[in-house]
Amino acid sequence: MDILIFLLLLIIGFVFGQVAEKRHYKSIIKRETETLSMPVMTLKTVPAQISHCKTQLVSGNAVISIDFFKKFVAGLRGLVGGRMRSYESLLDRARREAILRMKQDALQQGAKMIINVRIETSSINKNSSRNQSVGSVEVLAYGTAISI
Amino acid sequence: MEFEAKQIPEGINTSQEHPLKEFFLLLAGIGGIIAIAFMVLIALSDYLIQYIPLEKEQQWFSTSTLPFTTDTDSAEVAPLNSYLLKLVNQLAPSASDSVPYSIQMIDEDEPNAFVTPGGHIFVTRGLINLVNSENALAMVIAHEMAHQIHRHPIRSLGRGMIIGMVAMIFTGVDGSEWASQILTSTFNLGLLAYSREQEREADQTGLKLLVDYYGHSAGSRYFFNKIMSKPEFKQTKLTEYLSTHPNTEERLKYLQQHAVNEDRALTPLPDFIQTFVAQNSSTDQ
Repeated sequence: MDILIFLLLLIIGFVFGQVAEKRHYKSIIKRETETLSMPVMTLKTVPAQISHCKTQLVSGNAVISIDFFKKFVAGLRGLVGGRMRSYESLLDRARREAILRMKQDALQQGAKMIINVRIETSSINKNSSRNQSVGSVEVLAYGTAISI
Repeated sequence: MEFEAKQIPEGINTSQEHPLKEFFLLLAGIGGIIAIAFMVLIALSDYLIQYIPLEKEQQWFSTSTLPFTTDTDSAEVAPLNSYLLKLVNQLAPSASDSVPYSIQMIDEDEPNAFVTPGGHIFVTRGLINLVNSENALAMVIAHEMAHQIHRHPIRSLGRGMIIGMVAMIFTGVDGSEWASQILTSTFNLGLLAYSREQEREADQTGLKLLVDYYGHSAGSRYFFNKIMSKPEFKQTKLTEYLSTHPNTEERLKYLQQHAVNEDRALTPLPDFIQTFVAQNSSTDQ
């Protein structure tokens, strides 16, 4: 009985997780292409060419949950070590989504570019006892939007 | 400064490999390693058991450590228990006199008998009600004695401890409680197969004890025949794998093939047991 529940959870996790991931990537790539004209840089200072500008803090935040399948594969991977493939796509999605949301914020303010971009990552539900709950990852991207 | 808008190529930070591939590879690899480690540990435990002296085993597993109590003092049961002990001593091979057994009846309706580490044999009232001769009872008792001669009870205990240990190790590892549950159930199935092997061994040695004492094997199949006539004991090939005892038909076949002088007369049960049985069957109704 326990095995049946486990297999069911694994299948649900795999099917829904994969569908969500595929859809999310499709949307990420589409929006990235759309916002390609907005430069996002890690420069600490305003480029010298810009003599007069308005600056504004912009940020984007994304939280993505792992699914049961990813959690299980990561558990197995944790025994032997190596590249944690199941979590890599999760972090990649969260990071890109956060940057896209930051860009959206900047676009709404009429900014031309974002400089001094920083990215922070933290995990949610990490401390819950006996790791019964499924964890999720949060990525915050923030930077200085430049409007001319 | 020139800014050029470029799409970042995919597959640098993530893997393009299908997630199921990693899943199956990991599952097969880790499963295989654990299975091998498990087998080695179990083989080691089985090997080391023979170095535990019987006196130590008896010291560790006295009757007081058992999770249930039996009434030995009652005037009705005391003669019965001493009769059973006499039967055990008669059946015991002289070579293994060093195995001291204890035997007690427990007040249960279901016909059953079992042996616990330390050589403590228990037979139920239901079993004594069921058998029609001393020989049939002796066969069941000899089977349990054979378990102790081969030191099966303490071996099972050792293996049980290893399963518990491995399960505990895996429960502690992140995100794999489910994995540990699966492991435990799979290995439990494997262990059932192992304990069926023990039952076969106990049948063989038990039959030998019976024949050595009585000079014939008459009555040895009585218990199995009785069990098979009950519909709830019907076994199929499928249930055999899930059961600790081998298919009853298979066991009967073995006993039939190794029968000795079956035309000899059965030894009847002593009178006081017959009256005990009669009393109990009347109160049952």
